[in-house]
Amino acid sequence: MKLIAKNVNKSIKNRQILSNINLSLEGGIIYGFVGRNGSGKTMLFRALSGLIKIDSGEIICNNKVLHKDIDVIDNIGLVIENAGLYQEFTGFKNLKLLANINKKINDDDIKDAIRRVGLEPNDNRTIKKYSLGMKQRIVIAQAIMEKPDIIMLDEPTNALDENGVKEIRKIILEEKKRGAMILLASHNKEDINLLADKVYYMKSGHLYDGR
Amino acid sequence: MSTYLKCIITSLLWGVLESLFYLRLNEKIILSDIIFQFSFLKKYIETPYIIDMTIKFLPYLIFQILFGTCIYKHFCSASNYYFSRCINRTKWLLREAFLLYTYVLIFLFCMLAGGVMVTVITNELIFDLESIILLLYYLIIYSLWLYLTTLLINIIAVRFNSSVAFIAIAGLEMGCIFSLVLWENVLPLQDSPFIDRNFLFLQLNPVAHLVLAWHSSFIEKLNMRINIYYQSFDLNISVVLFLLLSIIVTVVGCIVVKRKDLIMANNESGV
Repeated sequence: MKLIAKNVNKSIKNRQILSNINLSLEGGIIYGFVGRNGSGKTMLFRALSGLIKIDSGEIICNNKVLHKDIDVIDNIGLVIENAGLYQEFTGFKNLKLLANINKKINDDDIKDAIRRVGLEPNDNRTIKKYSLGMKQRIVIAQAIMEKPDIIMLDEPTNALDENGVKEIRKIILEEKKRGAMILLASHNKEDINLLADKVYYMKSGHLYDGR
Repeated sequence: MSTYLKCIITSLLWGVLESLFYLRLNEKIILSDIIFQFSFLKKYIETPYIIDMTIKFLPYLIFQILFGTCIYKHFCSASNYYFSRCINRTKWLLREAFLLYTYVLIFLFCMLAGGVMVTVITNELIFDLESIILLLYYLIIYSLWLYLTTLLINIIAVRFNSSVAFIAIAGLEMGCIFSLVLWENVLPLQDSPFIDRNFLFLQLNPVAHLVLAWHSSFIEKLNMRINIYYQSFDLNISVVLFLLLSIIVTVVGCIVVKRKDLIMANNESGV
């Protein structure tokens, strides 16, 4: 699994969001992205996954060019900061709706993913009634349930208690061991220090090499 | 209650309600009479008729409200997670558009079924060839119109937001209905030396294509049953017009959806 970004640029309403981004990423590695609010981390994830179009440059995943050969990267798990699920449905129903798009997994796989993040698959409460921590966990469950090749996690430990943070870190390491390419954006320095094999810094849409 | 169930119940109820307007005890009713009732009547343009038309527009407006966000809703909650799994957005939209057209047909069938069911209980309902042909024209013209307007609401909502979409389309439809008053006074269709010209202008009003009784047909017997203005306004013109518009709206929809940047997780709230 390879993900390459070449000279990627994106501006929105005359403001440069991503500036000359170059990346070469492989499976089985955790890439950490750090930067202030508004530095472009979330937009980078959106661009790499195909949710937004880029103005110039190329994003290539396994020799397929994004927005030419494919609209979005196949087999990707995504957690975007502040992006929620369907409030009127239960956690299980939300994941089932999403799983039905590509029909790669069955109900048992969905329930396994929900249990992995420390939630109860048979919980009849709708997402609206979930706490912030529970909402974060269910979003992580939807990202990992289809065992994707690429996992992009934008602030995955937000709103989680100490135990929750440990559980999610454990999941991230398990996914890395499975061979997934993991992109992790976090303000939590401990997350980056403990998990990331390679670190990038983002500032005003520019990407800089870290360790 | 799911949207689809609401749609079926609304259409059945409205069909039954409409039947109260044309039921005459101990009389035979021809199917085409029922179709005229659902296709904005068989009347000349006058102010009271325009008011009638606005009321008869209600069930179609309800359908547009129920399904005006059936595609757009995917750009609100969970949009990032939904579309990160959508490998080909064009195929996705075409599938959703096909589903929408199916619901339009179910809606129209249920509405007619509601009206026919009541008629069959209280009167003798006559099915003749002209009625069946008119029924087919009604289903084709109305299904295409309802499909393209509802899809357009969804597409405008994706591009801007749902308020803009509903105001634009419902506003346009109401505007077209109210503008018919022009053909009562300014561009009369009776007792005027300019009837042909005025009738040509009428065909520029999209709503005129929904009134089957103003049309003509190359089928002689059907033409005698409709065509109250004795003008040339073939039913097939309306079929072709709405079919073309449906194709254009679908293509535009594919382009809008494909190019949509999912910068916000929820298009409606802006978060």
